[in-house]
Amino acid sequence: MHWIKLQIGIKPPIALMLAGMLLSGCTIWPLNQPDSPADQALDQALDPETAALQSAFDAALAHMQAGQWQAAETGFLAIHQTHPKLTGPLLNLGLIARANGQTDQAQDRFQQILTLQPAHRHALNLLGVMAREQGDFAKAEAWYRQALAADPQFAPAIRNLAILLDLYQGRKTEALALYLQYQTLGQTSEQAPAESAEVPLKDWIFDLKTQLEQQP
Amino acid sequence: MKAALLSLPLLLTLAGCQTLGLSTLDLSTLNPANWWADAPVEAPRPTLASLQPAALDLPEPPTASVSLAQVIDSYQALLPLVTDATRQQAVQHRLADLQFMQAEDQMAGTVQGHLSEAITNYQALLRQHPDAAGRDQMYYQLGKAYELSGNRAAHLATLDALAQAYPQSPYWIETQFRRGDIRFSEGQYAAALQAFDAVINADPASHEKTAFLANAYYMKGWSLFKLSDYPAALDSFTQVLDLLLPQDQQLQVAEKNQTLVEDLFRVMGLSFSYLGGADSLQALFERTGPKAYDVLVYDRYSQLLIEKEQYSDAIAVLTAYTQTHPFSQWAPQYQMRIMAILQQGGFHQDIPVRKAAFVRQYGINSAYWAQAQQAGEADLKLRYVKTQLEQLLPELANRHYVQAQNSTAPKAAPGARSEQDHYAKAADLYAEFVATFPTHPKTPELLFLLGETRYKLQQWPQAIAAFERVAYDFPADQRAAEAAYAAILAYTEAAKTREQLPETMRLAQQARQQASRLRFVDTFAADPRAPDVLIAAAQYANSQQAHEEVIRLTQRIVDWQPAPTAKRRMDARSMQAHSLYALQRYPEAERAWQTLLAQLPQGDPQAQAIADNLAAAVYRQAETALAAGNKAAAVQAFLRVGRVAPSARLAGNAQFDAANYLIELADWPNAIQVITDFRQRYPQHEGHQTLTGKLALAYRESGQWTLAADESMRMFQQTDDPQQKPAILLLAAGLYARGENHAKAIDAYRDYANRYPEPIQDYANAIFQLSALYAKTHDPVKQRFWLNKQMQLVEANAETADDDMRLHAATAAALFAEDARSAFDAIGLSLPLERSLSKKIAAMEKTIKAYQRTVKFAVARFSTQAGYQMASLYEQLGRDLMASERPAGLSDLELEQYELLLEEQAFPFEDNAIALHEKNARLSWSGLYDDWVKQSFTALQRLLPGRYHKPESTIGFSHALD
Repeated sequence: MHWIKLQIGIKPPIALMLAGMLLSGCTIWPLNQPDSPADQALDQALDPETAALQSAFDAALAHMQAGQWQAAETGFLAIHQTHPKLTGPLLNLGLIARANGQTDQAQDRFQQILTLQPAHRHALNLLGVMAREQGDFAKAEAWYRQALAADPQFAPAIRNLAILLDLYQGRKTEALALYLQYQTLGQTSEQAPAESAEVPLKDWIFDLKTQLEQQP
Repeated sequence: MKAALLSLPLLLTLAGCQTLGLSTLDLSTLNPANWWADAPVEAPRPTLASLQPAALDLPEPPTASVSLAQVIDSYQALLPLVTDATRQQAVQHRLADLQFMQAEDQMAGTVQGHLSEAITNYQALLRQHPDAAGRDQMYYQLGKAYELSGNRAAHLATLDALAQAYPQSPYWIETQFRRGDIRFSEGQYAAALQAFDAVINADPASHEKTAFLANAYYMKGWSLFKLSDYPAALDSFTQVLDLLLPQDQQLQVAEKNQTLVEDLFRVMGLSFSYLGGADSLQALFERTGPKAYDVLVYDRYSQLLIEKEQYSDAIAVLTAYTQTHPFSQWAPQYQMRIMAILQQGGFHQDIPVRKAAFVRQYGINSAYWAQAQQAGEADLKLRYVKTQLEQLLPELANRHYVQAQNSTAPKAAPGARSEQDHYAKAADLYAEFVATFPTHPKTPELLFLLGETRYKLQQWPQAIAAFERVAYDFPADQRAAEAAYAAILAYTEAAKTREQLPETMRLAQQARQQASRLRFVDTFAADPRAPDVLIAAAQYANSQQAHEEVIRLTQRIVDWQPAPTAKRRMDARSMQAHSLYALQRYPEAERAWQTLLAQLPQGDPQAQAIADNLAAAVYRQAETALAAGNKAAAVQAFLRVGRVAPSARLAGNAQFDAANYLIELADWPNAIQVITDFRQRYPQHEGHQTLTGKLALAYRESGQWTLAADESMRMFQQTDDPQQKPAILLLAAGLYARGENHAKAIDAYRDYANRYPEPIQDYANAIFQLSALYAKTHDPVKQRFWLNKQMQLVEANAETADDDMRLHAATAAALFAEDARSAFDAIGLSLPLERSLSKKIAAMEKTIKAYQRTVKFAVARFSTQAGYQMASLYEQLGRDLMASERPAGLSDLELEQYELLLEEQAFPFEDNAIALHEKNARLSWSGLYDDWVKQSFTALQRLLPGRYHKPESTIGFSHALD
């Protein structure tokens, strides 16, 4: 089918991307590199049905980024019902549920994604975060490590695993190594953000080393 | 004698035969005249000396076939013509004979002239022809002429001459006989005997001897008789009978000989008498051997004796015959004749014995009877016997029966028959009659009498058999119904001693008795006793638990027309109902009992029992429904018991069971209704107390908590079981609580807490509930009283306290900590700071102690809460200190220094707060991550962000479709 083409050609508008980042309250990583407008035009010209789908997805995403959860959910659900094997609508539906405190529903959506794509890094990472929030640290670690198995350089999972081990498991040494890996990754890859006010990585590493030094 | 002799030819020529006919003998006809031929009946009885032989039947001389006169005329005409001397002699001889014959013919007219002429001619012939042939005949004829002319001496002399001169003459035997006859007539018996012996001893081949032999023996017998040689006479007479009577049992005798034979019997009888009577008869036949006709001899002799009124002798003769001829067909007749003789002689007292002997000797059980049957002579021998038995058996039996009835003494005199003996004898005789005459018209009557006698003798089986034969072999007989009923009575009597019998026999008797009852009812349905018998049959079937039979029989009673008495019908219905019940046909049993109950008169004492049975029938239906798994139907049936038979003893149980099954069915509304109704109706019922718990359950299950609690309290009051009482009270308290009846719930829990400090878990629950109830009723003092009890309880039982107890204690401690916290919060830091701070710190320490007490109960949730709260307490004090009132009038520098001093005071509190939060947060390392831990993390993000504010990285949205 023509879905294969979509994997390489769909790009959210920049404004929407920014709005999404603000809403999340977290560091947001773009999923895909946007294709050129020429490629988009070419694809849409080639497949009007795909164009309509993309248009619907974009509309729902716009609602989502505007905090219009109901409209966004309706839009993604419509797409999911007609295209149940697409993970994008499911991921957004899960994020909307999580944002609205519907933890179970959110986890279900992420699990659905895994049935379609077992190595879906973001779904695995999100499941890990939610498990940590629920105090199920072992499961959280497992999800993170599963994401890293899918993509060992997947920076969000590295950082999240480091935080889990640092604060919630007291496994400081392992956490330090991961923070350092995350730090290194941030220096070599666009996937990991560099040192920021939000993430004073150097301070974290320093404090952690201090704690380790003070341990008997 | 002459007349008699002359009559012989006539007698001998009489044609035909006649049976001497013993069976025709009739004592009433016995007459000595019968022995005398032609003698008038009224003739005087002869003396012994006058006894003479009967006229003999001698051979008749040849007679002319043409007119005698014509022949004589012819010979007379011929004589002159004959010249030859021989032929002339013959003609002359013939002419004389003819003339003699003519004279004989004319004898009645005393034609003596002719005889004289004949005699003259015969004498002339004899003289003229001394050597002529036929002289023997001339002598013979001459003698005859003499005899006719009455010249006995000449006659005898002529015969003597002929006998002597012509031994070979054909007239010799006759001549001898006539010589004997004349000698006998003249009383010369020895000479006569000699002459008769000559005849008897003559050539056996002689035709003449045959003709005269019987007469010779006869006359020889007479001669001997006259000579008093009776045995020899009898022997000779026997020879005559041998010749005259056939050698068979028919005893047919030619009629011509009848008179002679009868005469023989007579003279033989006389001989026997001279010889001593009965023994001589036996002696005779011992000499001669048995004779077919010997019975005639006995018979005639006995008649002779009877005529002479020698009854004993006659009886002896007859008895002798019966003894020597026990199987003779005449033996029974003679026995009867003996009895007739006795009757005639007036010896009545011996007759019954004789009659009994007759029955014994010739009855159906006798050897005589058996012999007759075996020999195929039943018709010949038994016909007469039966005729007699037909009369004798009833007569004798009835006689014994009457004697038994008249016997007043229990035991008769020695040697006499007792009542029982008479009855036994009567019974045997009745039985014999019945056996002998099974189809006789009198048989039913005698069978009935047989039954009665057996009944009197308490011979029940035999009595029953007799009665039943009357009843069912002769159903048309007027006694049939009575007999059938008598059989039933006999069975009843027999049953009184039945227990002594072996079981198999007893059972068999019972079965027969029942069969008899039913047969009576079936056969004699119109008999007024039939319903009673049917009832008895039903009762028996009932006793045997033959319930199907009982039902069938009782239905017959119910349907009986005309209807039996009400009591009978009710008895029948009662049995029927019992059997229906026993067969588990409970609905039918119910209807039967109801019918019975409806027909019962008001106030009948049986009403209660019937009601009880009715109730049982319905109750069983309920049980049947239960067995089929249909509890709802069972409940309906149980409840129906009370409706149909409210007075039944089972009614209470039924309602009780209904209640129980309603409980099982969780039909709470109906269960409550039934139980409460039961309580009112049956306050004394044994299940009363158990229903309290069930009612409590029903109330509880239907959400009627207070009512359920009330019932539980009732149970608490009712039960004496120390094991159950605490649980019940606790249950009641809980139900009150659930029913929001706080006051009663508190009372119950408090009662419990005061009564039962152990087991501690239940006690802990009670005091926990008390604290909760006081919280609901807004009584904080009492609430805290019981909360404190909860803490104390756990502290005192640290090792045994369970999780709930520790939770409750921790909860209580947390409440007390909050109280302390509230007190802490209420203290403001005002000037002078030293004093207020001191108070505040004291309040804080008190609060911290309260939280530390909470931690001691080792409930994680309360430990993390306490940790968080203690941390927040320090943080709060630090903040309060920094926000405390500043002294007035401070310069800026003083104020700055004052605040620095405050910070120095406050920092340790913040450090303490961080330390406590971190301690709380680190609980997550061991997996504890509750709200208080989370809140500690949150506090740490604020108090120590460099270490704890570490946000996780997640995607905010996906802009990719896939």
